[in-house]
Amino acid sequence: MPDKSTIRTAVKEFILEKFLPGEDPDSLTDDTPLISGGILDSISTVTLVAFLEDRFGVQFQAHEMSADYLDSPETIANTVEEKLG
Amino acid sequence: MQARVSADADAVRIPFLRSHYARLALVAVQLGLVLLVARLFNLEQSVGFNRIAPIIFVGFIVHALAPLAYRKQVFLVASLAAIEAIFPFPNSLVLVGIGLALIGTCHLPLPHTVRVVMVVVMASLLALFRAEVLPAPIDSLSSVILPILGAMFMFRIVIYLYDLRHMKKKLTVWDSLSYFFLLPNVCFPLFPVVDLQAFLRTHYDKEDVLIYQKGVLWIFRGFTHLIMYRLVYHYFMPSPDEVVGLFKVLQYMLATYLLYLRISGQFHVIVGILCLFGYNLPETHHLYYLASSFNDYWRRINIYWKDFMMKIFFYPSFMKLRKIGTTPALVIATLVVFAGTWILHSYQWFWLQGSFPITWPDALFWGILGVLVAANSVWESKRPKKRAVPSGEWSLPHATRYSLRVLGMFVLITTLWTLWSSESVSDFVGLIVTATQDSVANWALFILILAALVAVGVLAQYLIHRGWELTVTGSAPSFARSAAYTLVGAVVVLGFGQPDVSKQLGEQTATIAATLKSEQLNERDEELLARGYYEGLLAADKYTSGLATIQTGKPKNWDAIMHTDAVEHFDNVLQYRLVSNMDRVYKDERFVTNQWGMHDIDYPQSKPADTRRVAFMGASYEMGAGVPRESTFDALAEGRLNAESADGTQVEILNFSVGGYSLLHNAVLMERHVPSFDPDVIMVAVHSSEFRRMTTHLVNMVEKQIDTSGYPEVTRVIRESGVTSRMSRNQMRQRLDPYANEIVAWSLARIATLAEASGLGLIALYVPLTEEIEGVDPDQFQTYASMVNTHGYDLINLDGAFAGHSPQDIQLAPWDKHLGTRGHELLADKLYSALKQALIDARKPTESHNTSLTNAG
Repeated sequence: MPDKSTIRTAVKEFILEKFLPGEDPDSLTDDTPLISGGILDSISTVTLVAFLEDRFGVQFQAHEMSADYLDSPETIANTVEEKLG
Repeated sequence: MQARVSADADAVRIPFLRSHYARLALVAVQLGLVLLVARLFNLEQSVGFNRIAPIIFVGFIVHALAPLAYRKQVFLVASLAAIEAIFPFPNSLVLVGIGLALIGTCHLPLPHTVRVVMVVVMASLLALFRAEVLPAPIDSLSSVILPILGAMFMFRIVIYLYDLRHMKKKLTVWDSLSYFFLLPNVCFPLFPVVDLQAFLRTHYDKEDVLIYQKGVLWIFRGFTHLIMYRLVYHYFMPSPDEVVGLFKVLQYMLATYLLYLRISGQFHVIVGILCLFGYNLPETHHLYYLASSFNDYWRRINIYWKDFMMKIFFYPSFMKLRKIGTTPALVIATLVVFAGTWILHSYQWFWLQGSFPITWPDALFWGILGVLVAANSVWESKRPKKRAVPSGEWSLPHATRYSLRVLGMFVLITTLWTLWSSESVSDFVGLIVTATQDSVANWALFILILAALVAVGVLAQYLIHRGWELTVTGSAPSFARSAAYTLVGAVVVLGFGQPDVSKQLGEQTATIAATLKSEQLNERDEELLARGYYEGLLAADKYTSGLATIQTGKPKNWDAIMHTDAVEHFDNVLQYRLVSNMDRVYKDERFVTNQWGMHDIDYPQSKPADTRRVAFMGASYEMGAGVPRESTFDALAEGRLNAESADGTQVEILNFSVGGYSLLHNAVLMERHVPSFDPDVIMVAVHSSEFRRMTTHLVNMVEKQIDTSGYPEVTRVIRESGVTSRMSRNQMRQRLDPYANEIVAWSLARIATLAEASGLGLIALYVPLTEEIEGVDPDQFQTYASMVNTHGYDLINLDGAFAGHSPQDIQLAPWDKHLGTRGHELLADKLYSALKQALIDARKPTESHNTSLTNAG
């Protein structure tokens, strides 16, 4: 089972590649607001969730597509870790 | 975190700002000035903002000084005080009571599904009251309480039930009550759909004064939007009949889209007020006129709505459908969102206005936008984001492409918006056809203008690249910069609003400043309001219309007389008459007709001895729409003449008037009905609106394909104008308007000829409209005066009867410009004096006509 740090790193790499191409990797911190900061919109959110489900074998519910669960790399890592149990 | 650093940086530079209380005081000063702007410019006064402004100001200070643990309670008290200020007891109690019942139901110890069903049943019951299907237990429930209760609960309770099921965080009673009874909601029925999780998450998530400063800045920004809205509304929106040719069509389309400033203005004010109480909510609108794609537009305009639809419709649909593939799921979920938006728009309208409009322009607007956003979403999902230009570099081709995209989106959205705002699809098509028929030279000029706008966009991008900030406050203003902008801006706006200051800038500027301070309707809405009465149409189904506000309190059954069963219809030029011996309620007043179908007391058909009889013909003012038959101005004048009769001669004024009648209707009445009552005098009411009403009459006849062969003049103008029954009403109006004066003149001549043949006296009664308190237009008056003079009428001019009174004194209701009881009394005073003289000196059949212009009284 991947640890939290691995999840966080994978999430950051995916976001930088898909949604922030060309950005300085250091500008994406663990706490960078993704949904409330406007980096993830609805299309990017479903793309990100599809990635998380494929990569970590977890399942997301509709109500989890929100800032409470996905607003930063740290929150996302917590959510995935919780799902992995 | 960034904002706290920003405030601290200010504090280092400006010693005064080092104190928390000093910063708080500075926010309070700005808030006071900004609220004065609202007061001076009468912004949202019709919905009672002036009454909640002191609550906002005092509430903010008390709230900000209270310990953090008590602030939610203070906010709730301020919100309840605002409800009481707008809906005094017992309405406030009913509103809060129903609200508590709904919230309580959400928390019953029952399965979630059962609670949802119970809430739906309760809402359905309230909907039946709102639709007036069920009689409400109290009069104010349907049209006063339920619109605001609906505004508070119609969407938020959906989110609330959804989040109660899924949310991790535990709600306190203060959270629940504050979420529904949000302070500004009580006077802003059209309210952003605040998300419960965002509401809870953002509460004091930053340093308090920074949230307050953002709030006061947004309130000020909202008020500037509302002032700009008025500028567009009064000075840029052409009247319906002017919309001919490419540039007038473009002006109309642009103005229609710009009127959305009213919604963005209100939403900025609303969210700004919530920020003052610690709720650091995000922007509701973000530079929506500068969207560069359909998805970008959807993300920038009414962001709260987009988030609501994502949460309740998009994600659940997408997650259920994704097994069929990401792309099909994306498309279907997006279309579900737009179909939902369309239906919910009507659902919202139902709670706020009482009707559930389903129109083709609505369906097309949301349908087209949905398809475009779905296509855009698929395109975006297939095409990974990439930087077209490396960071820090400038590229002319990229800047040009971006400008073209923004301009293209603006043109497309403006076009779609115009479709949405059209009364019918054929009206919209007619508008586009009008534009396409313009000259090549004008189209070439238009293309040049577009090219110039692209160049401006490129220049703006270059300046931004060079480090310029093109907005006054910048993208993330510091506390000091934001405060300085708000303070200086408010002082400048307040100065501009002072007559002594604006006069210094010229008479025209002073006039503009005065107009911007008034909540009056523009020329177009005045005309639409008048037409709406006569045509059963009201283009107030968009909140950007000035009519929407005044229509909010209008009872559901408040219709023009010809759209009720108080008239019987005919397939001839007369079209309809009042039903005889009727006793019903019309416009909240008893409406009784006599055996001859007049809104008047009963008269024998044969004239009694020693009686002078006047046959009075007019339209809704004269009929007395919304006043009892004994209170119409002719009835009051008749009563007074008879009470003061010295020789026992009685006067009878038989009121043949019917709402919506034109002078052509009156000419038909004169031919077919009036002579059998043996009148001595024919008195015809004339208003400044005769041409407009004549056009409406002609349009109605063409639309219903009425046989006009008995009236060759009418047949001729219909033929010459080229109208057909397949055209939209607006197209017909534009073609028939130039002929209205001919038929008005013909009708006056026809009435005069028939009166002359029977040896009857002839009076034209010029009756001012309620919007002519300051006096009728002299040129218009002279036009009609010349006409009646030519045809031998004596003219009685009632102009000036309303002098010194306000519209509220004389109008029937805020949404109805017909005369109320006081208006009829004022006209009766003037008519009495004039008739007394006219009837004493009445011409005998053998005497020659002595036509003169008389200003009665």
